[in-house]
Amino acid sequence: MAAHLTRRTALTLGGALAGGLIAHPGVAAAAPGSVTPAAAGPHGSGEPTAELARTWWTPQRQVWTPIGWKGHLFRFDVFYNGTMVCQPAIALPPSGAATLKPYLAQYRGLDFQVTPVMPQGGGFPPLPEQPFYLHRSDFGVGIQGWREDVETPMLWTEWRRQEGLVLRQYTFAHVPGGQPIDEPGGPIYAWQRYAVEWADAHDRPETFQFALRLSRVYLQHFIGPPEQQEAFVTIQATPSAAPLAGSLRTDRIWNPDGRPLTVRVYDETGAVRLVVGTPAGATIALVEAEEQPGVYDLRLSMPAAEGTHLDVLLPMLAQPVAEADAEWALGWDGALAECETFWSPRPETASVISTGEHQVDQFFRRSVQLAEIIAEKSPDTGQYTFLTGSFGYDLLWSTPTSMISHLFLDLLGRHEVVDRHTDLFRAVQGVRQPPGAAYRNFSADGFFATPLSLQSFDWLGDHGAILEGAAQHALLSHDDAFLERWLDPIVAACDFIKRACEYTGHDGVPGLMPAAASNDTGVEQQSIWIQVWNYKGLASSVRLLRRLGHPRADEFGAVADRFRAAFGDALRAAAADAPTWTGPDGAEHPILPTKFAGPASPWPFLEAFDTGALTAVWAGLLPADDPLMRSYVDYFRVGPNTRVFDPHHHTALDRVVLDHEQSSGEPCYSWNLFHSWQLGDRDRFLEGMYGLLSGAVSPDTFISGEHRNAMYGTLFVQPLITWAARQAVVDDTLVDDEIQLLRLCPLAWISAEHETTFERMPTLHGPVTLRLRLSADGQSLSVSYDGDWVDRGPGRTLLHPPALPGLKWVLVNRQRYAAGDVIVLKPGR
Amino acid sequence: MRRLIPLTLVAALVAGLGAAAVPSSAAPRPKPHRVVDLDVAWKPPLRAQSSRALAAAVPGDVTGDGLADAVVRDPGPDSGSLRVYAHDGSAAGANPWPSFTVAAGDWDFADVLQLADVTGDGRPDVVARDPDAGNGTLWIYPNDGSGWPTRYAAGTNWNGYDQIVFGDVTGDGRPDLLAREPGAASGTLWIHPHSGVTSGNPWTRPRYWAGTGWNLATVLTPADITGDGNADLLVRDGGGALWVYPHNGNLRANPYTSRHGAGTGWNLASLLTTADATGDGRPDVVIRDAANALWVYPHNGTTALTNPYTVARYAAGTGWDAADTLLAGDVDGDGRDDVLGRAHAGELWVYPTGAAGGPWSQRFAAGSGWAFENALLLGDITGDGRPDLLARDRAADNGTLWIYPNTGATSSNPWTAPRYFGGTGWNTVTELILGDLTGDGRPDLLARDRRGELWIYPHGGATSSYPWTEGRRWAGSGWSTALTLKLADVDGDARPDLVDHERDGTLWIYATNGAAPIRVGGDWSDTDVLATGDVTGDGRPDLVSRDAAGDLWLHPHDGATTSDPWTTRRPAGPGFAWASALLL
Repeated sequence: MAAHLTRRTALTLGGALAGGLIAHPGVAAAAPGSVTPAAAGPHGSGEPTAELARTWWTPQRQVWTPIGWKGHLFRFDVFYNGTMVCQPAIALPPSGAATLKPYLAQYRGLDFQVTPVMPQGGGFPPLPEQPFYLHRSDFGVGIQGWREDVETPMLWTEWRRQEGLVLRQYTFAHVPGGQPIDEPGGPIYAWQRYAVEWADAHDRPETFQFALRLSRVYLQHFIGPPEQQEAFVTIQATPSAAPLAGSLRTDRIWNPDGRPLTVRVYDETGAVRLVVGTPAGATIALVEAEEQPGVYDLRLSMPAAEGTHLDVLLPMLAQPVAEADAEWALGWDGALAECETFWSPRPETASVISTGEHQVDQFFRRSVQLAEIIAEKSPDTGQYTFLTGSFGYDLLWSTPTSMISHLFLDLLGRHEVVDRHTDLFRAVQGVRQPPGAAYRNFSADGFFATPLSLQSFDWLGDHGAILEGAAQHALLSHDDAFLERWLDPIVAACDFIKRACEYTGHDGVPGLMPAAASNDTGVEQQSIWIQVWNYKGLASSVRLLRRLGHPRADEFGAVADRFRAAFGDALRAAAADAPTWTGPDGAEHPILPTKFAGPASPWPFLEAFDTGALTAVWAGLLPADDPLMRSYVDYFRVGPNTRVFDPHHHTALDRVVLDHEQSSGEPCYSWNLFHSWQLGDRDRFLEGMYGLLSGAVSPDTFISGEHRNAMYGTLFVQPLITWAARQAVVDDTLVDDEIQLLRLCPLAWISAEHETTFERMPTLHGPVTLRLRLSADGQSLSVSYDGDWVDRGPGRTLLHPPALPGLKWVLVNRQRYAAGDVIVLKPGR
Repeated sequence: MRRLIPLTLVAALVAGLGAAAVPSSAAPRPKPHRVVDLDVAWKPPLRAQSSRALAAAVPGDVTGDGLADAVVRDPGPDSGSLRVYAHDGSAAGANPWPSFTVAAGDWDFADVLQLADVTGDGRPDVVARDPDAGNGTLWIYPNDGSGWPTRYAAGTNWNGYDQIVFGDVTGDGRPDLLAREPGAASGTLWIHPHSGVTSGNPWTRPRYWAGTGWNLATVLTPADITGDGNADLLVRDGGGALWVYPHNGNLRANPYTSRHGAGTGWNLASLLTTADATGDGRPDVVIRDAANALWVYPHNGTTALTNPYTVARYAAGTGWDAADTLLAGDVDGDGRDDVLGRAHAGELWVYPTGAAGGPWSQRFAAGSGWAFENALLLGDITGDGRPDLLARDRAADNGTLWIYPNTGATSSNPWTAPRYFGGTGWNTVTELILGDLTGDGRPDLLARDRRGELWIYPHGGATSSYPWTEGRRWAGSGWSTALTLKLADVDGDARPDLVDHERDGTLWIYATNGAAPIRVGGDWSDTDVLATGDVTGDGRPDLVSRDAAGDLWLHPHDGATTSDPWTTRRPAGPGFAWASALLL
């Protein structure tokens, strides 16, 4: 890598060198296979790519991905094996609280599951009688992806059959009328097509038969004592849950000529549970399982000729015949056409990212759609909210979910969406009591919390997270209308933090937020987690108020300064008393605590990394080059945890390590990425970014898991990937009042064959557009750069020429610069 | 007895069950028995016979006396042979075919049986298709003056056509072959010109197209109706209208480009063909009506493009029901389906249908020992035009099917011939029905499995061994709730529909053409036995039910094809409670 080290390259790689003070680069990554061959990668750089990163891990297990409609109350969840889950109620209620989404109570018990079952040994395997972990039946992996020629989020799942054909399922959701949601709980349908995608010209069957097993939802979340190879929250097939309460039936079918048919499947009330349209020569039969009354196999066969398909219309809830018929009358093409009209428009402010890396580009394309699918419009209040997940986390954990706003959608110019899905918090401000005893001693005015109907667990960090979301939105959107509604709540929220930090009647560290519930364990701790979120929200608010010239800006600025100082002092003090570990250099380093006061948590390993001290760099409480930060991030790279880390068998609650710069606990909390970014540790930064892209979200559907192999249907990781991709190219936060261009840009995004574009990327100064293309001879890089400033623009703009061998010139807006060093663009550029 | 040789001119009339004798009946086929193709009159080319006297030139003349004779399949002991009803010279207005003689031979194998002077010697040869050989082998039986003792092949793979008739279309005095391909463009007509070969297959020249949409024809027969020497086509459509498609004079391309009407109401005929009964050299229409009476509709002599059949008809005898070998289901040969009752003791009885269509007061024994089976079906499995019995022995090899060929006996047990094997493993099905669902004229097996799915086991054509050897074909699902399923062509489209008696006491008709199901009115809850068949002899399937008291009821088909056709009923015999099966 360092064979032709230039000054520019040294600058680019400086962070990596600096970051490697303790760790040896060659052994930095704990997981096997992390050393990239030097000759591989773009431009022979040895850098990773998205494609390469896919090889770092075994395929993720038990992935499910929702399809749906923006803001609709319901989503369909499609598993890796094509199983469709219709769960209109809460899939995994954290408690029996009647306050949880009361508007969903009416849908309890109306869940429905459609499981494609392929033939096996001349028949269809029955549903086993005993519960089993789903992934143990088929390794938990399938072949799946998005159809790319349509804007509509349409999933496909494929079965490659040794009979000599490929059967593919296509699925998309449609709402009658194809319009934005009016009635959030109104009818929503999944259109499915099962198509013979390919057939062996010489050796294939005349027809192919498969079954759709119809049942209640029997894929259930199993939360129990973790065991190896499970993922803490795993999917268990629970056959006892499968039987439907009522019977299903079809009309009697008489079709000796094999005509195409439309067949309705009715439930016991006569409502339509699904509709099937068969092609000529197909067969269809609904058969109740002999050993499992209430479970039905809809046996289907069709000619095994390429292009042959049958369609299935699946309503989330059984529909009256007239309603279902009206939807069916649209046909696949008609429904899809409406969907295309619905999904195609792009907001004026929306960013456009095209890197030339297919996986990266498709990730952004589908992720922004998923953000509005994993969301809902409340039928009670009419307000929108993001949800933490679909099928499982259908509620709102405000802290991690706030990242959907400030580290994801706002960074992609989706400001209207963020505004619409954030507004619900204003009504809750000051209403709820913070989840900590100390907080009963002062006013809760200004305290943000999750609305009770959506709240899974009450975390004090939620206050800071909601505030951070609002402040960052205002900073990046420059939306005066938003400020008009939100300025006072932001100020009130800052006041709450001020009161809390100034309250001293508690046993914890003074000057910080007193102990409170910090995570799902409910244990009241003066945790680092609640400090970083509240500080971050406060600091961003101060930046906003200063931009606005708000009279209390400096007052809160001082609060933030004191907060930061108190945190630093407390952490250093704790470090002094902390147990130590011995680094590769032989020195002793502290193992930093996750809390300053409070009882131990049942999840110490998870908290140590995911919600522990490394968060301080992201929050701005400590710099990445602080020795405590340097040593502690290396603790997870090369420390003792790595000795007991089994890359093939571990759970989210095991000792956490950095596996390809990704948390082996919950990847969305890979805070080390902020360290690498700040330090300019390019190798680790890119390894982390690509690792998240390929190892923490499904590289097939881009849906996130809470941890690898478990609890999908979320967008937990989208924020970090988005932030990293954006910072790599357009960075407005490394240094105040500066914009850094291409500082950590992957070399894979620089090409003569493709113009890389980052259009309308929001910054603190307004949106910027960047376009890059390498000359055919590789000697010059053309950069088009334009800022639509809402202020005077950044004080300075730096462009970091990529470390490409042979690159001599950088043409920025046709102005030529030598590529040998960091380029300082003219002011205002 | 009239001389049988030399045979010179003939017009052949082969009697058969309406449906069996083909498209000859627009009325629904009363029973899904084997369809034997139209045995139509041979039309000697007028041009080639121009030197002969008119009296000698008329079609249908087997005996060579210039008068058209009729040929029918023998119903009784002479089964498989041909009866020659020689025209006795009667003038128009009198029955010309009062008696017959028997011609040797066994023609049961043929599903197409025609007369035509293929060899050009002025004598009608027999052309027959064997559907079981070579995917349809055509055989030519030259007329040697004493009969048809030898044969030679005229190609294979003729099964692609459902109609094969002969007429001189190309104007060379030789019979060209006209064939309908039912699966192409609603029935494409092809003409295979006669090549002139007299000792081999004469239909080897390239065929040419003669229009589409010919599936409309339930009867299609060539005849020189317009008197121009070229074969016109006489067609009866599904509505009972008769049409003349005059030859347009084009001898190398489609000759049938126009048509004119020849009256309506021809559905009264269960058989319809042409023959010169009046001796005027013009093709008359000869029909057999529902009462099995033969009628002649004389040609009025017109050469204009107008209806030639306006002259009043006259009777050509009764008792044509004796020609029952093709009247599948008509056990006693009277042209109507009979009722068979199976006694609990395992005795089988045949109840001949009376002229009025029941009640069935008379009976004759059809053997005992039938108690072993639990499924008993009636259908012409052997393809001889007689209803055979199909029985399932549940105790043997998970359900063994046995086929009991019908011997042809009409007043005693006809199922005394050795049975043959129909496969094992049939206990896996919960219902068995016989019917021609594939449209090849042979009874397929329709079976319901335990999941309520229906499967067609196509009849492969074997007539003396296991016939259902072809792969099964799916036909429907959701039938678990059906108490009884029957096949009957209720809507008159010549395809059997499904009659469904549900456990909830409702009765339904599921048309095979895909039309919405028809609910049959009334409460059928106390009906424990249900059968369908043409009891009234109108060509439509009637319904026979047995109520809780053991009394039979006849529900005559009223002609409705898109609504409930069984709206009335009448008693059909009391005291049938003892019967464990009722077959029509």
